[in-house]
Amino acid sequence: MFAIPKYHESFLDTPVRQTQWAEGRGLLFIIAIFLGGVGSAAYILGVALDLKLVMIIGWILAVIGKGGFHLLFLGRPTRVWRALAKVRTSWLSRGLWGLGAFTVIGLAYIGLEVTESPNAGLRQSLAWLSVLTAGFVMLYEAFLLKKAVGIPVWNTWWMMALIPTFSLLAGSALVILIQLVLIELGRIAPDQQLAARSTIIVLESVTEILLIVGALVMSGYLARGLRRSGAVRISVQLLLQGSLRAWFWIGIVLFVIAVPALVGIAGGFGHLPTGLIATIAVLAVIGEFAVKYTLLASGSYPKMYPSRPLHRLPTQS
Amino acid sequence: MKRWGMVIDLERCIGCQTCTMTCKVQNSLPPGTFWARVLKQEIGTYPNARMVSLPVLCMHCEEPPCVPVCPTGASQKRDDGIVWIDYDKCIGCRYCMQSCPYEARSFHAELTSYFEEETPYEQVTRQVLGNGPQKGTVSKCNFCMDRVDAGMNPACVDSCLGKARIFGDLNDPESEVSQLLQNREHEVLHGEAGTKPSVSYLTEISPTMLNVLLAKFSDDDEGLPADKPPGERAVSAGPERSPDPVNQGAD
Repeated sequence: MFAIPKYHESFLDTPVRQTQWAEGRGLLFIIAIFLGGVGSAAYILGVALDLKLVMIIGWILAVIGKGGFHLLFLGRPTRVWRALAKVRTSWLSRGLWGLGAFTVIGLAYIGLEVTESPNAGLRQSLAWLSVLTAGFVMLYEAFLLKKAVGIPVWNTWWMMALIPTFSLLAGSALVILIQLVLIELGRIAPDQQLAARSTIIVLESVTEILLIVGALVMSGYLARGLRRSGAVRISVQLLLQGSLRAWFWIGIVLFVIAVPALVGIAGGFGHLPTGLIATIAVLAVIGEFAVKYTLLASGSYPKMYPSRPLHRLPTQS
Repeated sequence: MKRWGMVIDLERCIGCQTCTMTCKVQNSLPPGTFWARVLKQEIGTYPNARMVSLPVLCMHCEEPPCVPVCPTGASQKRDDGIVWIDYDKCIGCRYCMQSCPYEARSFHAELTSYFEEETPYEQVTRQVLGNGPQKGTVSKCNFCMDRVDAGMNPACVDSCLGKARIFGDLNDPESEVSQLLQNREHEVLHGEAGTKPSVSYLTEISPTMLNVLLAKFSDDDEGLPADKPPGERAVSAGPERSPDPVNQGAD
C-alpha cells in the first residue's frame, strides 16, 4: 500500500516523514498535546457550566498530564526553565508561559470555587482569565505547528480551526462521560440529577455543532492538501490511503464524526442507554487522540531535490 | 563583516563520502549521526543511467527558520553567518528539527560510541573543545567554526578528494566562492522556503572541465588535453579555480 520511506531511500521525488514528534519518544509529545487539548477544553466547559469536578479534572489533565508528558519527552527536562527565554519568537516558549499562567490562575479560581469564596468580583475576573489561559493552552499548538517551516503540510491556517474544534469536541465528550459516571455512582443528589441530565443534553447539542464544524474543517484541510503537490499532498494521501488510513477512517471519521452524527440523527442521547452514551463519549475522546496522532505522524519533509535538475541527465551516445 | 558560505561543484563530487567520514572524526559523531551527508540516486533509464551524488549539510541560512523557533536560544546565528547550537542550553524539544526543510539536524537520545568506551580523542573533542553533541540534545554541522576562527577551512572542505567544496566569504566579491557564484550557473535547495541558504550548488560544467572531457572523448588522440588548444565548443573561460591555500604543495 501507499507509504513513504522513513529514511533517505530516495531524495529525488520522495518526501520523508518526520519521526521525532511521532515515533518512539515522540508519542509522548502527542500524548502531551492530546491531554492539553482535552483538559483545557474540559476546563473551559466546566467553568461555563459551573461544574467544579470537571474543572479540577480538566486542570489536572492540562497541567499535570500535558506538562508531565512534555517533560518526559524532552531530552533534557531539567533544563526546561530555559524554555522561558525566547517568548518573543518561539511559540514553544510562549506555550510554556501560557501553561504556567493557566496553572496558577486556574488553580486559584478552582480554589475560590471549592471554598465558595464570597468575593464575586474576584471569582468572575479569575474565571475569565482562567478561560483565556486555558484557551491559549488549547490553541497555541496550532501556531506552533504552523511555524514549523520544515513540514509544509502543517503550514496552514486550517490548523487554527482544526485543533481547537476537535479539542472542544473531545472535551465535551469527556464532560458527558464525567456526568454519566457521577450519576451512575450516585454522587449527584437526586434533586440535582435533572440538572445533570440537562447538562448532558446541552453538551450533546454542542457536540453535534462541533462535529459538523470538525467535519467541514477536516475536509478543508484535506482538500487543501490534495490541491498541492509534493510533501503536502503525500501527507494527506498517507491519511486517506496510506499507512495512517486506519487511524483516519476509524479513529476520526467513524469515532468522532460518524457515530455521534448517527446518534444525533436517531434522536439524540436521550433515547440511548447510559452505557452506550458512555461508549460513544469514550470513542470521541479516542478520536481526538487519533486527530493529534495523524496530524503529526503524517507530517513530511519536502523532497530534497529541486524542481530543476541539479545534475546533467545522461544522453544517448 | 564576513559571511561564510560554501559552494559545492556537483560535477566534481564523486560520492566518495570522504567528507562524511572526516566530519564524523572531526566532531566525534556517534553512530547514525551524519552532519555531512551525501545522498545518492540513480537518474535516467537504462542504458542511459548514471549515479549522482548530492552532498547535503546545514545550509547556514541567512534567515534560518531554526533560530527563532528555539525556545531557549540554543540555536544561534553568529554575525559571520554560521548557525550553531549551544549544547548547554538545548533542552531537546526538537522544534528546530521540524523547522529545518533540509533535515540537517540530529537528536541524540543516547550518546553511543563506535567503541566500548569513549576514546581519549572523543573525550577531548566533546568535553574540552565542546564539539560534538550531548545526550538529550540536537546537533548539526557548525561549519567547523573553531577551525574557521583559526583561519582554516571546515574539515569537509579540506578533505574533499575532488575539490568539490569551496568555502569562503560570500560578502567578499573577490573570494573564490563569490567568483564562482558570479560566473557559474548555480542553484540552492528549497529556495521557495525563503531561508536564503549559504550553501549553493554549481550545476553547470566548468569550461576547463568541459575541454578536458571533450579532449578525452574526441577521436583525435594527439597528446594530452593540456597540450591542445580549446576545442570548438569551448566557452569563454571564467576565472580559474585558485589552488587550495591549505593543501598547496601537499602532493
